[in-house]
Amino acid sequence: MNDISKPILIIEDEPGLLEAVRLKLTKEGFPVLGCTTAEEAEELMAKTEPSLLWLDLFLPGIPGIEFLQKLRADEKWKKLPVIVVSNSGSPEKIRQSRELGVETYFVKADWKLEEIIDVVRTILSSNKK
Amino acid sequence: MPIPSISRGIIYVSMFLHFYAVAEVAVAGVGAFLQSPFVSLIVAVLNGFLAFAVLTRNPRAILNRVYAFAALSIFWWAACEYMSRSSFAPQQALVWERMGSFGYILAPLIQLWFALYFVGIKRVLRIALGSFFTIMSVGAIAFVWFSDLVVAQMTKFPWGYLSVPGPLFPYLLSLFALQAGVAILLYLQFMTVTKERSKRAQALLLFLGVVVPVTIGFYTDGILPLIHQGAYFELGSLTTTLNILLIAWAMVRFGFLGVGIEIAAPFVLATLADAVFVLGDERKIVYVNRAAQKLASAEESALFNSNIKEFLPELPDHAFTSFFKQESYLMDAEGHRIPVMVLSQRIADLATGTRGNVITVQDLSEIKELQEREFHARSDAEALHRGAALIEAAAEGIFSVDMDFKINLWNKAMENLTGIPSDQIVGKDVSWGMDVTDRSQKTIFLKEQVFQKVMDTKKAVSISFLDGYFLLNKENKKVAVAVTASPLYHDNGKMFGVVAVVSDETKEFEADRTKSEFVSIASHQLRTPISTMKWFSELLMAGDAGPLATQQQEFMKEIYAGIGRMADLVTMLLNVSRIEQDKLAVAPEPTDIAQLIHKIGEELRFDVSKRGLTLEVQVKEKLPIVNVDPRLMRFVIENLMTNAMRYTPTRGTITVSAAKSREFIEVNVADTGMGIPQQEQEKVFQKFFRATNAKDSVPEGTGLGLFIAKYAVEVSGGKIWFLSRQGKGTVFSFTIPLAGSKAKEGLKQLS
Repeated sequence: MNDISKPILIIEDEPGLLEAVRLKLTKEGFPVLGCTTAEEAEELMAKTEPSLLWLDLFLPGIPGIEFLQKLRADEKWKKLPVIVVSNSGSPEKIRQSRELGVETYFVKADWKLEEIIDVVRTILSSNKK
Repeated sequence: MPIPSISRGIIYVSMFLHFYAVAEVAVAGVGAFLQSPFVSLIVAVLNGFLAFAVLTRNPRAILNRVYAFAALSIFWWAACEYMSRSSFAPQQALVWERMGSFGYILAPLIQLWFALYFVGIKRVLRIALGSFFTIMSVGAIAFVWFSDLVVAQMTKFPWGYLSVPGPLFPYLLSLFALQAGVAILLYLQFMTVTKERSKRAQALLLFLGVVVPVTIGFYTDGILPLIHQGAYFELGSLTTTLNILLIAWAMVRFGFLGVGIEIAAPFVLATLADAVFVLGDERKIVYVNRAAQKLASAEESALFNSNIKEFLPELPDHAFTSFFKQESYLMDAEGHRIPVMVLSQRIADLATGTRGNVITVQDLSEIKELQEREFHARSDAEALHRGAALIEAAAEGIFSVDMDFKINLWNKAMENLTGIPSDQIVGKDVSWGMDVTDRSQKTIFLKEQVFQKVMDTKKAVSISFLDGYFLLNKENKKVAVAVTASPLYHDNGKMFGVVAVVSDETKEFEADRTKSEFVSIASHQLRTPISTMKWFSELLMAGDAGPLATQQQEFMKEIYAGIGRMADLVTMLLNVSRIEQDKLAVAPEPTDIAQLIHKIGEELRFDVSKRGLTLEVQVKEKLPIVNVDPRLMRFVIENLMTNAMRYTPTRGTITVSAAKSREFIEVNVADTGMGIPQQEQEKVFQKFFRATNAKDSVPEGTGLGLFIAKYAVEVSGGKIWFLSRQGKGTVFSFTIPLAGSKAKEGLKQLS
């Protein structure tokens, strides 16, 4: 089973997509926390430790990559599993994400929601061990 | 030639003496002086001199010659008469008398000849009449010499020996009378017919010169001796010379038989290169030189007495009254119009009383032709100059090469584009001119790819930035260009070179980029709602909002499929826009093509079997590892194989093969599918193009796959082509350079 206390934190600026992901993850039995901006995420993370970060890169305010850089600079979050779920296929972004220790980089248009969630499940179960 | 003053003087003296003699006779009857032989001597001397004067005045004129001859015969007659009259014995006198017969018989004959020539009677008639009387005269001379039928004997008179007429003497007189009669008739006829005043006056003089002495002489030398035997009067011989005198007077007064204008003309004007027309009264042509005859294409006889206006119709009236010079035209006898320069000069010589015009005509046709040719040459040169100026001023770069690929024209715009001044490039091989790179960033061989192709196909060849061709300018920066090379032909259809027009298409390139930017922005924006629709559809279909009825599930499948197609299209559009903005990266790395092909084959195996198709992967030998961008290669192979699958009906076969040649790896994807219709084949690689049979049978398909695949192949340094027959199948082939691809910086990759 999953650790209920540690939710998956979703940072996605499109509310519709955020809803869909939250719905599905909840259905699958995962605790979910969602927000639409990096700033909100910071606030949430000050209060709760997430088990995984589901990060969109195109965010209003602080962009995803920058947020990630800040995150990794913090000792506390150095080892936090992060998946990037973005619409950008830019090699530059992919490279940067890889450098910042991202588990997987998903281009939204190419993946079914279920498939991404499968990968999430794998990551979390392997982490638990 | 004017009469020398001495001859003039002598003529005057002679005239005076003669008239004195006549007057003496008239007043004092037969005087001793008159009866002396000295009169004859004087007559002889004076006539001799007259002959000399007339002949030297114009030795070539026939009239002068005849006149001189007549004067000479009278000279002879008078001289012989002197000798005869002053003889000491009758036999001596007879001899001299007979000698004199040449004179007094020939003189009237010659005067008849003069008349025949003067009136200008037809040659045949002149010869007939002249010959007849000549024969008669010769016969008369014979009778004088060899008989005493004409001159019976010589009788001594106080004033010397004189002849006694014989029985045939009257016949001699008749001959003289007949000759005189003919001469009189000729002059009379001439006077009535001729319209020229001066000629008429001359004819009148001559007429009088015949009539008077003939009448008087006839009476005194003919009738009187017959009536009064032995009486002899000198009047006859005197009056015979009256004709001569009158002519002499006319010569002095009117220049008759002298260098009158129509007689002098031949010497001066005959050999002139310009045509000369001499006009007498009423603008009639009295003389034309050889050049004039040639110009007017007519003989002298046809021109003589014609009105000058027949040939120079444009001459105004004032051309005849004063000096006139003007360009005009001449109508020749054949009706041709000849451009000419006309100079007209009025001639009026009071001394000789001659009046007329001398018209010089210069043929301008050659000059006109030269002028026209010069004009044409000048306008040709101007046109050429204009053409050259046009080429120099053109905004597009224009250059041309000859059949050996040597540059022979390089305009200012080319200088600006390439930084090479024309004097440095003209004469050099075309490869030195421009550096053009293709998609794979390699400099292309302009000579082979463009110019040789033009020469071989005899058709224009174009390359442009739309196909990825860029010019490297003087700063080595890429400039979007369109180059069109066309064959150059002579008038006779022979190719003599190739002309290339290079236009800077930077503006068009920028516009294209702007369009592509727009497309990419829009496509990006589309991705978010598409993702939303896709994921919620997935949730619905997974039953996360509650179970779906069968039909609801079916409808959802349709919706999901549609969304999928939209997503594909957006992805493709993004790729295309990346290509067009030149933002696509090429990141070569060592790639195993054989492995890639197998891998893709595996991935697609499920779909292949689902469609009931057979997939064969034939990779013959071990392929070398090449430095190419694997993402690009994957795209191409995937695209070709997906196409093959899509357009081949069940039970068909797809064959993928790869083989190594000297410089490339060649990959072939063959199918037994529907093929591409012949007339649509040239559009296959165009954006959004789908063949009609493809569209009819397979609804999905963006028409962008091959466009992107072609780009991917070319930017990697290869070539892509296909062979297809409708209903039979298609084989697509592409090459991968063993030398690998050149890396290219780019912000994006193919997705």
